[in-house]
Amino acid sequence: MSLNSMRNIINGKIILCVCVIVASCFVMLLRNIAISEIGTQMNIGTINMFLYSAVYSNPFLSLVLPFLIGIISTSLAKLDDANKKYIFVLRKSVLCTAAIVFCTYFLVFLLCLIIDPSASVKPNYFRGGLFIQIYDISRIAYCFVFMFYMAFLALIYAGLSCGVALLARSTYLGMVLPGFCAYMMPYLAAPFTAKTQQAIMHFLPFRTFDICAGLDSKQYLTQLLFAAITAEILNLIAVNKKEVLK
Amino acid sequence: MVIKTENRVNIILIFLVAITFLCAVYSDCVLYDFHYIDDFIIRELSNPFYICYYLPFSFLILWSLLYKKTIKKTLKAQIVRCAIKSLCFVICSIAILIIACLLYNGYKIRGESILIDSDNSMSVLEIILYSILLNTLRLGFYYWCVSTLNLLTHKCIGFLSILVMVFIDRWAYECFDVLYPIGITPIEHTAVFYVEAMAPAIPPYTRLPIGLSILYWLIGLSLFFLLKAVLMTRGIKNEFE
Repeated sequence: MSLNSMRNIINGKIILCVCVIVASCFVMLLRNIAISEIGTQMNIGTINMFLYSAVYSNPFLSLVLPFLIGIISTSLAKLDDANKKYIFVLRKSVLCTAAIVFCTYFLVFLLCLIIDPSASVKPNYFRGGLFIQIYDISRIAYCFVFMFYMAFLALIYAGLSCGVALLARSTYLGMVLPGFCAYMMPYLAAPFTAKTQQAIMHFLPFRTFDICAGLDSKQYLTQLLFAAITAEILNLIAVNKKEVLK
Repeated sequence: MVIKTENRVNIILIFLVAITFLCAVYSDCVLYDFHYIDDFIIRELSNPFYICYYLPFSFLILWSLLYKKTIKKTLKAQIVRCAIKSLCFVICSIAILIIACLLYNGYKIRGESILIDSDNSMSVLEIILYSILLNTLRLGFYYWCVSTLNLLTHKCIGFLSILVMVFIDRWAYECFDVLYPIGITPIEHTAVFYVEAMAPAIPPYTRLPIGLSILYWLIGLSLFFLLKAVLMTRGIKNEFE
C-alpha cells in the first residue's frame, strides 16, 4: 500500500473512532477494577488488564462499536476516482475497517503491556464465553483470537453499513442503522415463547459484540452468517443499481 | 403509484422503529408483570432502559426524518419546531406504551399517589406530566447537542454525543467509584424517581427537586443553543446535517 493511499485511509473520523475505542477500554477497566475481584490483586498484569478492559464486561464498547464501524466504513467507501469500479472501493473499505479494528485492539494490548508489563494471575472466576477452550490452553492466544473475531465482526458490519448507506442513499443511516439493529432487534423476539426466542436468537444480532454474553458458539456463528448474508445481498443490490457514495 | 426511494426508506424506518420500540416496552411489561396502565407508564418513563436506550436509539434513527427540515430554519423557528417535535415524539412513545400494556391485558387504572423517593410522593398525573416534560427536554437537548456538534465538526458524527450520554448515565458512577448519586448524570434529571449510583438505595434517600432538574436541562440546552447561535452568526453552515 502506497503512502498516498495510507493518507487517504487515515482521516479525522477514523482517528476519533480509534480514540473512542481505546478510551472506552481504559475507562471500563477503571469500572471493572471497582466492581470486580481484579481490583484486589497487587499486580493486574498485561493480559488481565487487556481482558478486563476490552473483552470481559465492556458493555459500552459492545454498544458503541457497531456505530464506530459504521463511521469508519462509510468514510472509507467514498468514490474518489470515477474510473474505479465501485465494488473494489467497497471491498477495500470493508477490509480496511476490519484491519483498523484489529489494529486498535492491538494498540490497546500494547498500551496494557506498557502500563503493566508484569505477569497476570489466571482468575478462576473469569468466564471467557466464546473461545473458552482457547482461553484454557493459552490466554495470550485467546487475546489474539478475540482481536481476530472483532476484526471479522467489523468486516461484516462494515459491509452492512455500506449496503444500508448505498440503498438508503444516506451515509448517516449507514452509520446508525446497524448499531440500532444490533441493540434493538433482539427485542423483536420478546413477544414469543422462550423456545421460539432461542430459535430467533440464531438469526437476530443479539450481543454478538459481547463474547461473554452467555450465548453458545452455534448462535454466534449463525448470527454472523445471517448478518454476512444480509450485508452481501444489500451490497449486491446496491452495486447492481449502480449506487455510489460520494 | 410510484413511491420515491426517500419516502420508501422513511416508511420502512418509521415501521422498524415503531415495531422494535413496541417489542422493547412489551418485554418490560412482561418482565415486571404490569397490569395497571398508569403504573406501567409512570415506571417506564423513568426506566433507565427506556431513557438510555429505547428513546435515544429511536431518536438516532428518526433524526434524519423528523429534524432534517427543522435544521434549515432560523434559530427561533428551530426552537419552536424542536420543542413541538420532541413533545410529539414523547407522546407517541407513550401511545406505544399504552398499546404494549393493553396487549398484556393491562386495562385497569390504579390512580394512587406514588412514592418518588423514601420521603416524597406525587399523584399519577403529576408524575406523568413531569416525566413528559423532562423527557421532552432531554430530547430537545439531544437535538441541540447533535446539530451543534455536526455544525462544529463539519461531519455527521454529532450522534456520538448521545452514546457518550448513555455512557455517563449508565456507567460513569461505576467507573469513578461513586457510591451515592451527586446529581450530575442526565438520567437523574430525567427520571422522576430516585436513581441509584453504585450503592443500593437505603432510606432515607431523596430525589433532587424537580425544579432543579428543569433548570439542569435548560442550562444544558441554552449552552448548546448559544454555541450554535455563535457558529451560525459566523456564517458556518453544515452540509452534512
